[in-house]
Amino acid sequence: MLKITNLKAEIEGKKILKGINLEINPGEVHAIMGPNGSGKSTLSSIIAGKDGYDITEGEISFLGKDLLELAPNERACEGIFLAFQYPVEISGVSITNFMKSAVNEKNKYHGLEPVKATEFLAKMREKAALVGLKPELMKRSVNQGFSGGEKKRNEIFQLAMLDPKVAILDETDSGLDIDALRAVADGVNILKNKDNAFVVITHYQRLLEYIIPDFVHVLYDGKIVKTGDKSLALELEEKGYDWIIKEFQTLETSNS
Amino acid sequence: MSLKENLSANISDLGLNQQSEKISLSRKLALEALKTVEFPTVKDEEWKYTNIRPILNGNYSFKKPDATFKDQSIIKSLLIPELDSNVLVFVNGRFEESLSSIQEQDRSIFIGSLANIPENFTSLVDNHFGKLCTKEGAFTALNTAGFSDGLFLHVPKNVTLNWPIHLLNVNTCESIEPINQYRNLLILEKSSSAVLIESYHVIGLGSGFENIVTEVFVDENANLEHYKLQTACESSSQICLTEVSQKQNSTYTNHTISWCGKIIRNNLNTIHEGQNCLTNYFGLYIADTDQIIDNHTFINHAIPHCNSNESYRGIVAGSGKAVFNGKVLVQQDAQKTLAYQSVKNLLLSENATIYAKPELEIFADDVKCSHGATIGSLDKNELFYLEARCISKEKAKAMLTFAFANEIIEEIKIEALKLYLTERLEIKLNNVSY
Repeated sequence: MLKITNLKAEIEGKKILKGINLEINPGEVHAIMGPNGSGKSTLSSIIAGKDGYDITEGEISFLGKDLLELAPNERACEGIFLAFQYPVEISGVSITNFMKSAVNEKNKYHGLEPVKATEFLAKMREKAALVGLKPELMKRSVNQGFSGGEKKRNEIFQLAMLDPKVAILDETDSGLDIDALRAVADGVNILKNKDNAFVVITHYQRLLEYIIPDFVHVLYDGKIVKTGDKSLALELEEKGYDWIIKEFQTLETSNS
Repeated sequence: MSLKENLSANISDLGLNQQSEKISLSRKLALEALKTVEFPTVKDEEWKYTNIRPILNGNYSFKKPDATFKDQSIIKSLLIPELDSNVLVFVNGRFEESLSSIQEQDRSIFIGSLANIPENFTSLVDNHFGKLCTKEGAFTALNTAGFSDGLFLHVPKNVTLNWPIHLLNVNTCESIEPINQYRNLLILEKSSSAVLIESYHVIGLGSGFENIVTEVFVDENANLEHYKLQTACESSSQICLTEVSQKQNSTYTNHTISWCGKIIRNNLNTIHEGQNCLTNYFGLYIADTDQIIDNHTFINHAIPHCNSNESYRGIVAGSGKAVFNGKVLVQQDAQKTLAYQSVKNLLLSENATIYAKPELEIFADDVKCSHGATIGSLDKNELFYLEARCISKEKAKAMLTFAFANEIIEEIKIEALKLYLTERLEIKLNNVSY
């Protein structure tokens, strides 16, 4: 469904991604782990279409389309969703208005009619309950005055409203207490099905106890240096990243 | 022909009958004063950024338009939906009684034409007219000498109007670019209360020049909520002077919403003449290509224990230009003053220009005054957040700009008016040059 081939990217001349290869199929859950500064957030930003990155090589295809040719909103309409690590506050735009615009723009993109007000509100209530987002927040400005937990629940709520094909959770677990973490994970597990895929970017194994990955990738210095199953996450938790880095460096030296 | 010569040549045709001796005398003096007083230029500090030459050189006419306008259905289309109000219609500078409807039953209230005041009100007018326009500039003199009509409002002691007054000023000229000069006189007696909505509309050619002077007297405990909507005046130009005097415990709240017009200059001045006054100024301006919108506000804290609260938002797009100058003077005696001012501006394009200047002069030492002025552009992270949720860049810009402007609309207390302006603001922001 989403295929990344030899992706290389820079910010202001600094090489961040140095040849990423990744294939994500429907029904899969991928975890991407790695130390700080390894390029995890850059990868998710590039998939979502944030500008400021120079793609020097490689490609991303999504459902047969060249993703890099699409504007961010077109990617979102096609089914890419990024749950932000730091969701921004937007003063003066209520969540209700925001989601109504989002859903209607998506409908318009697919040649569908705007959503009916009653249906929309019912869906809002249902999805908010799913992630434990208080109904009174719906009238408030997006993320304004929200706690860290509320902001992250709001991201998963938006995910539920837009029903994407590939959802990328960028450190959604950071800054969450255990209850919020569970609520977010439960939401994801309910939304997960055979037609969609999740990419979970995280530092810690903790979230992966709740959202069980099919694949765990370790990103280091702009490359995926190791891929394994869920047991790799446990091993990382226990031993840290150093052994993988060493293993990778030895491999690099022997190759050259 | 200059504006002055133009007025002198046409003054006898204007049909300026006047029952008030004070007004007649003021007119004569103003006409005399016009011979010496000059129109401001960009060399004057107060007019530095707003070049009014296009107005002075305009091919305007003082002549009373021949065609009469009685189209009730057009007036209906200009009203604010769901707002029950006292409607006063002025067409091309003159009160149109047949198009107006006053609902107030109380005979002691007067809502009507300044050019046609009943005899029992003449002494009241004599005592107030011109009293607040002490600094006679050229535009004020031009207005005093040659205004054709305007609103005269008198709300007696302890009376609260049941309905807001909607003052519709309509310009219907098809063939000429008219000059409409309005003069409004508002007197609110002790403990009275009123709401006034002024709106300006162009039907037809879309241009012309309006020179408006408004004097407002808010007596003890009285309350005036004053809205000025420059949102349908197309490409006409306006110079407005509003002078307000507040007595003890009174409240004056002004909302100025401007996004139409070629050159707009609003002067809004308030002086406190008693303790515990509250003055609120809220303003929103949107200047797009070829527009200049200039707001000069002044709050004169002359008396202790008074509060003022001012909040303006500006959006400048295309090659538009906006000016904001907010002067707050706290005089030496005005201890315990609380004065708050905030002006925030959004620049939507490379060629847009904004001159924002908070001007605080404080001569008392036991006061709390604050001011803030910002100029910025739309936040890239906010835009990306919306785009990542299926919303196109254009729509995202319009949404964020709307949110920025809407904070001023949210201050409006009349729900029907708020809804009306919200809808129009959305349409406006879908059409500005980003």
